[in-house]
Amino acid sequence: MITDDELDKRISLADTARSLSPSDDALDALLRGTREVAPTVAPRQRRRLVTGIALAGMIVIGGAAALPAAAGVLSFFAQSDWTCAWGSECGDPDGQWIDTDASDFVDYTATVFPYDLPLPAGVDAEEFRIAAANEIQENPGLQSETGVIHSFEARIYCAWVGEWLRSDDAGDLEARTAASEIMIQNADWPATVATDGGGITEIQRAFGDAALNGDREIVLTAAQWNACDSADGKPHPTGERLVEGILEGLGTE
Amino acid sequence: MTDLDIGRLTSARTDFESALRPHLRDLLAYFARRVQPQEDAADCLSETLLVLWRRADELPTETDALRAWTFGIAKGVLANQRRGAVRQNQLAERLRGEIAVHRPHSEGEDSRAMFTALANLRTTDRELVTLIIWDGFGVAEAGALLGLSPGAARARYSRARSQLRRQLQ
Repeated sequence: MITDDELDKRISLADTARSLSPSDDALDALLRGTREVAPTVAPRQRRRLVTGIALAGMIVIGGAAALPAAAGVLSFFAQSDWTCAWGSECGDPDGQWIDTDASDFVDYTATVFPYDLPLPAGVDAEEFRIAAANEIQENPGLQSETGVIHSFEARIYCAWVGEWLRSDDAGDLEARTAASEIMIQNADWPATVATDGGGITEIQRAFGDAALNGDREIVLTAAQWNACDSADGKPHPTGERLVEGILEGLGTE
Repeated sequence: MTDLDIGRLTSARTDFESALRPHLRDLLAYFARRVQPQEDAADCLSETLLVLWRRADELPTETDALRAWTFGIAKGVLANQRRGAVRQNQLAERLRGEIAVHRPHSEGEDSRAMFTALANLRTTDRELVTLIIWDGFGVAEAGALLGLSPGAARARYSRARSQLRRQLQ
């Protein structure tokens, strides 16, 4: 059995850049040259968005917001003009890279937030979206559009994990069952499926099934694995064995 | 106010060179591991620096946040390079020349077996492993670059390592 250290060593030895050692002079020249020539290089063209017009066009229907058809052609600073060069990692090969640190990122998310996914009772979709977008901005960088949507799906999932735990504490079996069913559905949410080549959806489905059976230990494992705020920070061996079993089972296929 | 917020208040443009200099070798290595021919990494680095210069006012000064930020930009440049959208840049000519004469040490049978094992992983899993082992990111950090939740990143990393072990035994 190859140990962790041995595997790390063998992966490291295969690094084709391991011995790459560019001179300081070459790196300094590149950096200096960038400052000198950059003012003469036109930045990528970005179409400006007048945010007020975009949001004023939103139509609220039964508590959910629907965007007017023209919204699809609006651009945000958050949209980078770069498109994904590969398939499943972006979900959509033509999807753009989104700058989560752009000044209008929160506004941009109104165009991609999965409003069709349910939220626990009393949770306002717009407040949830804005809070989630602000959280995403705490780790700035470029994400695929599908990745941004997945970030929202993950937070909605966590909201339902929290709802399951609340209703379990309150002895509300009906609410707990409803939360369980949403947790099961998470395995089929589009961005969750698109960003995973296999394994994660099986795990999420197993978490949901256990939730339906009232297994609090597994639900707490789900909170931990999905980095939900409701995670209690304690080890959950039963849940961890469940996950390991699923991964091992997939690995032998 | 977070460290990141405080960092953004500084005059990043005047500190552009000193802020980015510590990250240049890592960024160059990131590209060199992923592009063919390997000397194209110089042009990718040059393109990345141009993008970062245009956004110099927004660069975080906290080291880890800046590193994640620059690699996020680099990932987009890599995608463009794969589409043939990164042209040779005269700025990068000297660096290209140095990379062209570099000979990777990893040409033995063990390395070939590892290349094959890595190639047999799903693309995201392979990128996760190489971001962690070659580029030095933590599991959650690497997952964030790939749009994965921390839990998904941990699970996929564990699975990828198991697959590598099975292939190499």
